Order: sequence, then C-alpha cells, then structure tokens
Amino acid sequence: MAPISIQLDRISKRFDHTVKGEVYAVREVSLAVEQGELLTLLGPSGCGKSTTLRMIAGFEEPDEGTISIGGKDVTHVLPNKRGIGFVFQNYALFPHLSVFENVAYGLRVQGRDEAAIGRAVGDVLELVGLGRYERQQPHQLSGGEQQRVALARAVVFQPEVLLFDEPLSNLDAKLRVEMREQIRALQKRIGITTVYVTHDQEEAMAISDRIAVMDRGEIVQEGSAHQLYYRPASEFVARFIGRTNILPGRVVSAAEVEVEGLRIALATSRAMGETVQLVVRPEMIELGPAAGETGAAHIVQRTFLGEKTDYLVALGGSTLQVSATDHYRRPPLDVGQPVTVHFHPEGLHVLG
Amino acid sequence: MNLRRSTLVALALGLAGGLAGTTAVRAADPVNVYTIWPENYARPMFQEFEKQTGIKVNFLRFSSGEALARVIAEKNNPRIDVLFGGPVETFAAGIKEGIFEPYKSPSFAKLPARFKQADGQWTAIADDPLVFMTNAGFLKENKLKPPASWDDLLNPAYKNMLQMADARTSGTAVTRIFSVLEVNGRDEDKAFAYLKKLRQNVQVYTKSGGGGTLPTGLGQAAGGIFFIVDALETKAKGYDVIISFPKEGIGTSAEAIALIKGAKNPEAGKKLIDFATSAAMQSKLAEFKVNFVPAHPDVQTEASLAEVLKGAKIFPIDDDYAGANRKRIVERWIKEVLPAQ
Amino acid sequence: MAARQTVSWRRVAADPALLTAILAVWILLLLFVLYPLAHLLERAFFDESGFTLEPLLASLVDSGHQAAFANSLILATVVGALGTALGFLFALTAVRAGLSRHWLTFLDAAALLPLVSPPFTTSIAIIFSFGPKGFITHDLLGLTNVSAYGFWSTMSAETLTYFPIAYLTLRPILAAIDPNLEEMAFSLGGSRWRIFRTVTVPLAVPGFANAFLLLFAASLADFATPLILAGNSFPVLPTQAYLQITGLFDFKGGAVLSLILLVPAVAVFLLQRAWVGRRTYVTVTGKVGQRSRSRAIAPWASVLLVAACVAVAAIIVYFYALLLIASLVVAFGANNSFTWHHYHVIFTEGLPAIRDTLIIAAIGMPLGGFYGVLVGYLIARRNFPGRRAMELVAMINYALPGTIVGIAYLIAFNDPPVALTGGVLIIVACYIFRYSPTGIRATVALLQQIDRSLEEASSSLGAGSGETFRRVTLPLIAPAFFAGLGVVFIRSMTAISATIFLVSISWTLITVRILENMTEMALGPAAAFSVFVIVVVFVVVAGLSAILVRLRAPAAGAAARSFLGG
Repeated sequence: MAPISIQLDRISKRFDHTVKGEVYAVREVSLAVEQGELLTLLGPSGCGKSTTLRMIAGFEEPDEGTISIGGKDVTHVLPNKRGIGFVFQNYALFPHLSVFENVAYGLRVQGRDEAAIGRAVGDVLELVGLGRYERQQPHQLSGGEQQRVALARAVVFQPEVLLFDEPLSNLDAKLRVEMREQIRALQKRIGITTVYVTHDQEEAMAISDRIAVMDRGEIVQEGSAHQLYYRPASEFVARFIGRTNILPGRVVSAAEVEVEGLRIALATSRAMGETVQLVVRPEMIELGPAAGETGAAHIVQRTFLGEKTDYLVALGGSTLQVSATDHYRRPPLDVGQPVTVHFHPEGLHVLG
Repeated sequence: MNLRRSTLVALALGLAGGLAGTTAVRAADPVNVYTIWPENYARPMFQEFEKQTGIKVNFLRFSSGEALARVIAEKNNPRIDVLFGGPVETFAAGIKEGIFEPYKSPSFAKLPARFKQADGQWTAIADDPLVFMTNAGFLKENKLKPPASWDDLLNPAYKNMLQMADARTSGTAVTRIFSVLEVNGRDEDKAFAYLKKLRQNVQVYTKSGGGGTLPTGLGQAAGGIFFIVDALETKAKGYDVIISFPKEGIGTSAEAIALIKGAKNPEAGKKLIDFATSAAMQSKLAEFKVNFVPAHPDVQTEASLAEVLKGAKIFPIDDDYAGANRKRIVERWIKEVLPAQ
Repeated sequence: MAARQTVSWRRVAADPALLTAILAVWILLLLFVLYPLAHLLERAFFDESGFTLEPLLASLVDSGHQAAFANSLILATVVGALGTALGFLFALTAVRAGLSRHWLTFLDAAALLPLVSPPFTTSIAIIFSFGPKGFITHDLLGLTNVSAYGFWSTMSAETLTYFPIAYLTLRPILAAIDPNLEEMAFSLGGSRWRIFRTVTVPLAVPGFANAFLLLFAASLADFATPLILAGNSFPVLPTQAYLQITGLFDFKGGAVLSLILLVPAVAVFLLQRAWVGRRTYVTVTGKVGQRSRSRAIAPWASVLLVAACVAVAAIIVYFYALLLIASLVVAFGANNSFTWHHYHVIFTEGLPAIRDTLIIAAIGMPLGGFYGVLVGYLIARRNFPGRRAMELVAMINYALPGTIVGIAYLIAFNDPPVALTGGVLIIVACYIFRYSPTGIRATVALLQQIDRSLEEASSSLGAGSGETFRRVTLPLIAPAFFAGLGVVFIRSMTAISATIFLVSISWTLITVRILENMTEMALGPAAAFSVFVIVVVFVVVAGLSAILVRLRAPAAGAAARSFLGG
C-alpha cells in the first residue's frame, strides 16, 4: 500500500448561521488519501465537501481535528505554506495578467530565475495543449481553455497535492467529458495526490480511484466506484449514485426474500420475517412478455434512448425503473403489456 | 514597484520638508504673531518693523474668534509671541483665560485710560468707530436719503436687505449691540426691542465684521453697520457706497495688542509692542491707507479720514460695563434677536 | 454565505505581513483618531470638579440646538439622496450612454470642478447669481427681493459640491457590472426599464449605499457652505459648533455639539453596514466573459440622460466662469477692466502658501492612497479580531466636523508626549485620516465585486498575504487606490475646516489664504487662488488617469480596463 499523503483526523467546522444558530458544515470527518491517489468528495450541494477541501487547502481552519499533508501537521499552517495546487470552479485566473504570467505566478513567488520560469511554463502549457496561447489575456480564451490555464497554473510549481473544487461545472456537457479525461490523464502522468470535489456522480465515477460520499457534513461511505454502485451503505448513497430501485422485502427463508409477491433467491443473514430494503439497479432486472393477462406486473412507460430502452414497470405497490440494454435482440414491450420480472440475484443488495 | 518607489519618494520628500520647516524656524530669531487685522493692513506695518529693527515677523491672520480659540488651545505650549490687532472685547475675553503677559510699552503712560488695560495686559494701537454704509444705487432706486438715525434703518424699504456681523463671531457686532444699548440709555429691554425690529430688515448676519461690505458694494445688500476701516476700504475699491452716521451717536472700539504668556521670544515680542503702540507706527497708517484712527495722542488723524468723521457723534464703549455684561448680552441676543424672524 | 467564520488570533499571528499591517493601522488609528478624540471627550465631559454631564444636558434641551440638529439631518438626507441620484445619473451616462470621448471628457471635467475647488467658491457664485441683485434672479429674471440664504441654496450648493463623490463611487461599480448580465436579462425578454430596475440598480446597491453614506457624512460635517449660505433662519450643527468655539470661546459647548453630531453619522454608517453587508455581489471573477457594448439603454433614454447631465454641467461651468472673470478684473462688479494683477499677487505674496500646500498635498497623496486601500482591504477581506472596530474607528475623523477634528488635533498635539503643532506632519496626518475613508469605502465596494478566489488562488500558489496584496489585490483595486489618492490630494488642496486650526507660522495653506482674502474683500486674489488650485488639481488628476491607463494597458484585459469606464 502506498504511503498516506493527506490525513484528516476528525475535523469539524462550525458556522454561525443567522437563523439556525451554530451549525456544522463539516462534522468529525476522517479521511486518508494515499500517495498518487485521486480521491473524490462527492455529494449534493451543502454537504460540506467544498468546506472540507478548503480546509485541506488552508483557506479555512477546522474548529476541531487535525490535518496533515505528507506526514506534517498543517492544521494551522497558512495556505501558501502547504504546497498545494488548487483549481477553482470559476478558474480564478488573474484578469490583469496574461496566460503566461498567470501560469508563471507561483514560480515568480518562489523567486525562480527567468529562464527556468520560461521553460517550466512552456512545458506545462504544452502539456495542457495551450502552447500557442502564452501572450493571450484570459478573457480572450474559451471556458475550457481558461480551465486548462488554471490547471497548468496549479501544477506548474509541482505541488505536493492537487485540489479541484467543481472545476468542470461551468462547462458544457461535451467539454466536461473531454476535460475530465484530460485531468485524469494528467494526474496519472505526474502521479500527484489529488482531491477532487464534485456533485456529479458520473464525473466522480469516471475520474476517481476512490470516492467518499458526503451528506450533511459527514462522510457516509468510502470506496471504489464499483463498491459504491453495487454495495451502497445507505439509501442516500444508493439513490445519489446512479439510478436505483429501492424495494421493500421480507425475509421468508435463509435463501429467499419476498418482494411484491415475488420470491427471489437471495442469501441473507437476516432473521426470518424481518422487513428489509432491497437495492436493485435498473439494468439488473430482466423483463419478458407474460403469458395471458395474469401477470402481476405491466409496462407503464417506455423510453427509447438508443443505447438502451428504459421502462417504468408497475409491480404490486411499487414502480420499477428498468433499463434494457439488450433491447436490440428483443421486440419492444408495449405500454400496458403484462410482463414477467426477473431479478438477477447478484444484482440485489440488502441495505443496512 | 512603482507604488513602493513613489511612496518612498514621498516619504523622503516629507522628511526633507519637515526638517526644512523646523530649521527655518530655528535659523532666524523672529517674532511670531497672529494678526486679527487683515493682511493688507498688517503687512505694511510688519514690513516697517522689520526695516527698523531687523527682526523678522512671521505672521498668520485669523478672525478674532479663531485667533483667540487658537491661543487658548496652545496655552500650554505657545506658538506665538504677540497677538496683534482686533477689538478690545477679544482681549478682555483672553484675560479671563490667562493667556497674556502684562507689559507696558514706553507709550503706555501717554495713552488715555480707555486705550489700555490697567495692568498692561493689552494696549490699544488704534481706534475704530462704527459707521452706516449703504449702496448708493439702492438709495437712489428707493428714493432714500443715507440713514442718519438708528430708526432710519427700520424703514421697510430695507426689508431683508441689510447685512451685518453675527455677535457670535464678530467683535464688530458686539460693539454694534453695545452702541444700541448706549443710545437707549442702557435700557436693555428698549434696546432689544429695537434690535428685534432691526432683525426684520437683516438679510443675513455674517461671520466676520466686514462680511457684508462686498455684498453692499455689489448691491446684493442695501447696507449695514461696519467698522469705518472696512467701509472706507470698500469705497477705495471703487464700489459706490455712502458712509453716514446716526445722529444719536455710534460706538467705537479700540484695537489692541498683547504679549502672550510663555512666549518663546518675549524680547522680540516686546519690541513689536513698543513699535505698534508708538507714534512711529501709527503715523504710517495714513501712508498705507489703513483707515484706523490712531490711538496715540501724538499722531494726527489723517485729513480725509478726519473729514469723514467730522460732525459725527462717536462715543467709546465703556470697557467695564461691556466686560461685565458682554456674555449675558450676547447670549440674550442669540436667544431673542437671532430667531426673531 | 450567510454564515460567519469564526475568528482567531492564532491564524493572524501565523501571518507576519497581516499582523504587521493590522498593528501598524491600529497604532496609526490610536494616535491620529482616538487620542485626539479622547482629548476632545475630556474637554466635553470633565471640568475642574471631574466628570459632568451638565453641558451635554444643557445642549440637549436648548431649542436652538434642537432645531440645528433637525436641520442638519434634513439637509444631510436631502443632499445624500439628491447627490447620489445626480452621481448615478452622471455615472450611468458615462458608462452606458455610448458618449464620444470628447463629451465624456467635458462631463468629467464639469463634474469634477466642484470637487476640486474650495467649497465656498460655489457658495459665492450662488450668492452672486441668486441674491437680490443676482445675475440670474435680478438681471436675467427681473426678480427682486429674492433671498440667496437658507435651505434651498445651502442644499443646492452642497449637492453640487458633493455629488462628484457619488459619481466617482458609482462609476467604477457600474463599469464593473458585466454588460453581459444586462444582455442576458434583455435576451430573456425583459423590457429595458425592467432590466434597469431589476438587474442594473440592484447590482449597484452597494455603490448607492456607499455614495449616500459619504454624501450624508460630508453634508453633516460641512461648515463652510452653511456658514456662507444658510443664513440665520436655517442653523445647522457644524456651524453652531464652530460659532460656539470661535465666537463664544466655548470649547466645551462646541465639543458637546460635535459629539451630538457624531450620533447620526455613526447611525447611518451602521445602517449601511447592516443593509449592504448581507448581500454579496460578485461580478468580477477569474472567469472572464467577452464584453460587448450594452444595448440595455434605449437611444431616447440616452439622449435624455445626456441632456440632463449637460444641463447640470452647464450650471457648474457658469459658476466657475464667474470665478474666472472675478480673477481677471480689477474689482468684480465695480471696475470690470482686465488685469493680471491678482495672479501677480498670488505668485509673489502668496507664494509661500502655494509652496507649502503643494508639498503637503504631495506627501499626503501617496500615503493617503495607500492607507485607504490597506484599511479597505483589511476590513473587506481579512478576518481578524477587532475588524469591525477598525472599520468604525477609521471613519470617525471623516464623520466628525472638520472644525472639531482641527480643534481636537490642536488640543492633543500641542503638548508632549506628541507635540506636532507648528509642523507639517500634523496637517498631513489630518488630511490622511480625514479624507482617506473615501479610498477605504471605494476599496471595500470594489472588493465586494472581486471574487475571493483570486486571492485564494494566489495564496495556494505560495504567495503570502503581503505578496498577494501587492501582486493581485492592489492591481485589481488600483482604481480605488487612485480614487483614494486623488481625493486626498484634492482635499489637501481645497479643504479648510479642520486645517484652519493646524496651519502655523511655518506651514500655511492656499485655502486659508483664500478665506483670508474673502474676509478682507480681496475677491480678485481669492478668485485667482481658486483658479490656480483648480488648474493644479486638474493637471494632477489628468496625470493620475494617464498613469493608471499606462500601468494597466500592457497587462490588463478588458475586465481591468472596464474599471476605468473606458
């Protein structure tokens, strides 16, 4: 296992709210980020992910707990002494400086000589594909280009860690995908420890080695994208990451759970008769035309999306979301048509 | 970078300037003066003094109230040696604050009693009677004769057209109010009844004694009550104004000089007082067209000034009476006359 | 964010540049604001027998003082509101009406005239124009028996004198509002008026509040204008306080009156904080949009705006034409033949005053400009214990009537341990601490529009707070720096109320000479001095603008240039 680069130990941050009084923005968050790892803080707005990031950067100071970077306690160290690169949501390019000077800023502060600065800035601008833009002013660039300048500026002085605060939220969808791939590639290439904040679960899954999901100031689950998707620890995580069905079930035997009248083979350690919540991803459900009109389920809505077809299916008291990715092999199911529903046991997960 | 450099330059400049300032004061051994006389009256006198003694006069001009306020504020560390010019009331107020050093110049003995404070706290250098001054054009338009009685000023033709000094700032105003008291036999109620009637014709009470002279010259005001020195100056500038005197009589106020207690340069200060109270200086008043009436008995009043004053009934304001009642009378004026419109 | 961050000394102590700056500002404020104020309070509330409230109570029940208090508030409110409106009119015209460079220069020059001349010059022009024999009321309109004294003329003179402050405050803010925002609202189908009302005006709200505060305080503290124009039926507090001290030699009463005056000044200040402080307006971020000329103002509205501004400008130009004529004739109104004599007088007898004034202004200007942005930056951007107190204390000398500041300085600095009277430092300090709040407010307003992330970015790139301030903040708030610096210079050339008590045998000022000339009826030299002051200030202000343009031109983008409104 790689050594730990960033360590948060039970950090908290409180604010005086004008109405609610003292509230926790971040509550007892502990986290370890390994050397070279890209960890994403994911959560809805107001969950404390940006505040956590800003505490790592030193823009804000935790009321409790400690932060260390590279083994050194930096809890009360000023941002400029932490060796961090920070990429802002609004890019924060200095409007009075050229692209070159923006990128060179950190090096100038360090007092590097002119030749070294020229080389380093040239290299990093090449790296982000902006080699020809040195003399431009920030306002002459597109949003994506501005973000790449911000990225170049953050990495040029070889910081120990790189922090991103929703860097792509101001870009359009296509550019977002492109940029996140660039960021990921760059991060892998220079092998820098990175903490990335986003509210976009798809972005998080695409870019991260590991994801920490936050809700109301606390980390509710940590793990790989795969773990979070298939083994969510809570309804919140299940719903926040990907689309999901959460169905009430009752344990009827050690190997079976009953859901909306269907008996599903599922090994569980729960007691007989206990009510459980089952997480089923839409693509893990198989539909088939039911013989006659006696089926317990029928199609409520059908949406053709090209790569897949989405269905809404009424099953007992629940409505299921189902994605058929093999739809090209089967005739479409019509609205109102009775269907059979088959759950793949490996796609079922019992919450709690 | 630019900023830092300019800041440094400015700092350096400031330091240099400050040093230059202090050395300039130390290098010569001058006499420092606040003058209440306007600069154009005071400057020729000081130049004459410099010529005669070789002592440089550094001076700054203030109205009487401002000058006194400063001297009081500077009491513990006086910045000047002599307070020059200004009506006696100002000096009387200064005595109460203990800011003067008694000094009797060689001319002191020769002066009549009303031109000196018995202990030598101040000495008069000139006399300055009040006059009525009116705009000639206004009189003509309204078919009026120059006012020859205090009651003439109550004529409704002057409504809102007179300007005179505010008793809160101006020695001129205080002298004026005491003139009214005198002509009414010191009957305060009668005098204030008159002042309240006069208030109806007053456009504005000005901060300084001469404040209304220019408006009167320009016709913005019809006239007012001023010291003769300011009235004659207005006339000399070419404004068409007429000077007249009330038949009941009008007051005059002595202009004084005093040595400051704790003066850094008392010897030079005393020399200036010697000079100002002497016939030598006061005989120069006419030469420089400064129309004060000399206080020194040996100096003749200049002919044209004497001509203006001929036949005028002028009385001095009783120093003891004014000193004892000034504060109360001025306060009554502020309370009763000022808002009476 | 509605939430406030907790504040700690530890954080401040870890940042040597910040700590030094805070300590330096506090030492200066203690010495040049609180120390004289303490002396003043001692005068007001202590006599031989110790603490006493008697003078205060006596003042409070005095009906004349009550009237003066009410008059002051009415006057300050009207001047604040009208001046802000007029300033906004000029700012909007300058920024949005699409005027050619020449027209802009003309409007700028006219708007700056009242700001760059001693206040009583407007008053004198009003008396000449509107009195019983006034050029306008009598010669032009044939009216007689019109009074040039009272509320209306005082209010007009103060509004004309102080509205340029609102103009200077509002213009950079309007210029910094991204026209794209207006464009966007326009594209959403809003009518122009609706956009103006719902987008432009709300974005300018911090500017409005600042402008109103500055004007309110300026009017509240102004004594020169009411002294000449208010007459006797409209007394106001600063004049009363001045008369109390200089006329009745009543330091105690004057001190008490001015302390009463401090109450509304502080109240308005706190109100403004509470009102504006709750909103954040970030329009200058590191994300820079393309700029386009705004279409948010209809052509006919542009014409109306320009016409209104030109009308106001014409009145101002007329007033100052009178001044120019008075400086070039033998005796204004009596002998109108041409002469250079008055200029000869000011450059011979008046030369020491000119030299002293220029030296004082040259020292005060950069120091005041720097002090203004430093304090503005600290209170708008840094979190440290005592920040609010610093903000409040820094405003005190501005809010107090100049007469009182002058007297307080005189009392405090005449004797050891800090004996400064008679020197140049006391005058410079008085100007800096009295007139830098303009720079402070301008800095705060501008910083409210600049996103914090720019400074955070700099800090994450290794720059300490001092370096960040110098490399990032300072260039971005350069307009506020130059505004602050300009105001200190202008006031050093034109103000009188405080410094009339601080001039000395060795250091005197042009304005004191002008007032002196006025009292001795030497209107010619007074006018010549005024013209000289105006010319010098104009040259310096033009020079400053040129430097500002050159400083930013090579490196600055459109966003930065837009601060200049051009």
